Amino acid sequence: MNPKENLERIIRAYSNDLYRILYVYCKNKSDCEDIMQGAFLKLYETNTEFESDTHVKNWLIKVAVRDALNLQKSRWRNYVELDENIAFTDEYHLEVFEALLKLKPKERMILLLYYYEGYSVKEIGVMLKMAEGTVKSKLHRSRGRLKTVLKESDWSEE
Amino acid sequence: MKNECVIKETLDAVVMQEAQIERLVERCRAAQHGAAQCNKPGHKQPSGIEESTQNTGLKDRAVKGIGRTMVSAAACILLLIAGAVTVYAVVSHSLLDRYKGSEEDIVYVSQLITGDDQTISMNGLQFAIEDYVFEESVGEGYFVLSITREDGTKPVIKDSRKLRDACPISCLWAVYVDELPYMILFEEMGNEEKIRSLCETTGMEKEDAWQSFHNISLSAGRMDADSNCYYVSFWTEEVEDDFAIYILQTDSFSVEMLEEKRDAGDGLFMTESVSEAVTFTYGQLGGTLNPFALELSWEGELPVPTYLQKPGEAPIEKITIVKKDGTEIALIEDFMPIKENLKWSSGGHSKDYRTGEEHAEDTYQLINLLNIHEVDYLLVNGEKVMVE
Repeated sequence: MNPKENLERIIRAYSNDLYRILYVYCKNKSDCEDIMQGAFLKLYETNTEFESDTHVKNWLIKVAVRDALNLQKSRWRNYVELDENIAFTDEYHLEVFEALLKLKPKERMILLLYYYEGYSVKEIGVMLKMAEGTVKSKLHRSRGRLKTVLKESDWSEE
Repeated sequence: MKNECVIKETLDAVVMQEAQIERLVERCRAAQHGAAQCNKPGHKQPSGIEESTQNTGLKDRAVKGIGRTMVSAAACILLLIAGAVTVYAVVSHSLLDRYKGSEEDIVYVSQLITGDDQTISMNGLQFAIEDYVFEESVGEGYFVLSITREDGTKPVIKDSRKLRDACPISCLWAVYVDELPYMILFEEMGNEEKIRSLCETTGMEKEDAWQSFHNISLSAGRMDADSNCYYVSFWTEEVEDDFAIYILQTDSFSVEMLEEKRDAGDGLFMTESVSEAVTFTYGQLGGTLNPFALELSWEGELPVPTYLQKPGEAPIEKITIVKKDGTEIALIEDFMPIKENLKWSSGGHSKDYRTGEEHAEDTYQLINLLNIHEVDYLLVNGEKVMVE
C-alpha cells in the first residue's frame, strides 16, 4: 500500500493509537500533536514498502515513540504540566489513570505498549533500544509501583 | 489486579476529540503541501537565512539554519560557563569547610563481582557471593552472601534486612556488621557482550543466555560523619538513563530510592530524600543523564557538592581530580558530545551499551569524588576550578 495516497485515511485510522501512547508519555496535548504531525509527515516522505495497514501502524508507533523520547531528552526542552483532563465515566478508572501518570515516563510507555498495544518484550526492546532484560525489569517494577500507588490512594478493585 | 484488563479499560478513554483530529489532518495536509513545494527543483524561499541555499532540500536548509543558531548559542554558552564555573568553585569551597567528618571513618567499596572473582574486601571484612539460586517456580532468583572477617572468623551480623526490591535483578540490603552499618546493593548485570558471546558460541537464544548468565555487581559501604550515618550509592541500568540514588539513614534504617521528578522549565531533575535537608540535583548532558553532572548538597554536617555541569552549559571534555596525595583521577576523558540518544559518554567510554565493569568503574570514581575531603582541586577542561 502507498501511504502517500492514503495519508488522510491513515491519520484518521491511527491518530487515537498514537495519541494514547504519546499522551501517556508526554502528558501534554500540544507535544502529542507536534510529534504526531512529524510522524505522519515522515510517513509521507518515507520510501518504505508497506505490506499492510498493520505494518504502517507499527512503523508510525516506532517513529512517534522515538521522537517522543528524543523530545524529552532535548536539553532545550521546557517541561509543561498536564493541560487537559481525560473524560472518565467513573472514579475507578480515573484513579487508575492518575496512578499510571505517577509512574516514570518510560515505565508508563512500556506498560501501555505491553498491555494495551500487545507488543512483546522483544519488540518493545527494539522500539526503545533497550535490552529485553531491562524491559522486563521495568515492566516488573512499574507493575509493582502501580499497585503501591493504587494502594496508597485506597483504590479498590471492583 | 488483572493488569491487562484494568489498564486497557482505563486507556480506552484516552482518545482525541474529533476537532483535534480534524486539526491534525489540516496540519498534516499543510505540512505535506509545504514539503512538496519545497522539494520542487528551483523553488525559491521567500526570505531569511535559507535564501542562499535555495537549491537544497528542506532538511538541508533546516539543518544549516539550526547549525548557525547552534553555533551562536554555543558561543554564548562558552562565555557563560567560565563565569559559572568560577562562581560554583567559590561556593563549593565554602561548603567544603563545613564537612567535619573523620577521615578514617569513611570507607567506600564498590566493585564488580564476576564469575571469577566472587569476593570484595573492605574494612577488614570480606563480602562474598556464595551462590545464586534461581527458583524456576517463581521465575526469580536470589543471591547468597557471606560476610567474614579477613582472619576467617565470623563477625556479629544483626538486623539484616532487605530494604527494597528494585526489580527482579536488583535488590538492596542493609545490615549491621560488628555494630557498624553497611548497605549492599546486588545487581545481576546482564553483560551484553558476554551474553552475545555466549549466544554465538553455544547457539543459545538470548533469552536463555540472559537467564543462565549472572554477572553480579555488589556495592558496600559505610560513612560515619559525627553521629550521622548515611550511605550514598547509585546505579544505572545497563543502558541509558535510569538513574537512582539510595540513601540509608542508619539510625532508623530507613532508606529511600530517589527517583526523578522533573522540575518544570530548566531541565533539571530535583528530588528530596528521606531527610528534607538533603537535596539531589542531577542534570542532563547532551541528551543523556550523566552521573558526573551530579550535585549533592546537604544542609548540616554532611558533605558536599561535587562538580556540577548544568544543562545548557558547554560540554565538559575532561575532568581530573587531583587528590592531596598528588594522585590524579581522570573522570571524563575524550568526552564526546552526544550525537544520538542512548549513548553514554563518561569515564572515557562512549558506546551504546556499558559493560558491568565500566559501570563499577564509574561508580567507584563517583564515590571517590564524594570523598571530597581528599580532593585538592579539580581540573575541568584543564582549568583548575577548586583549590583548597
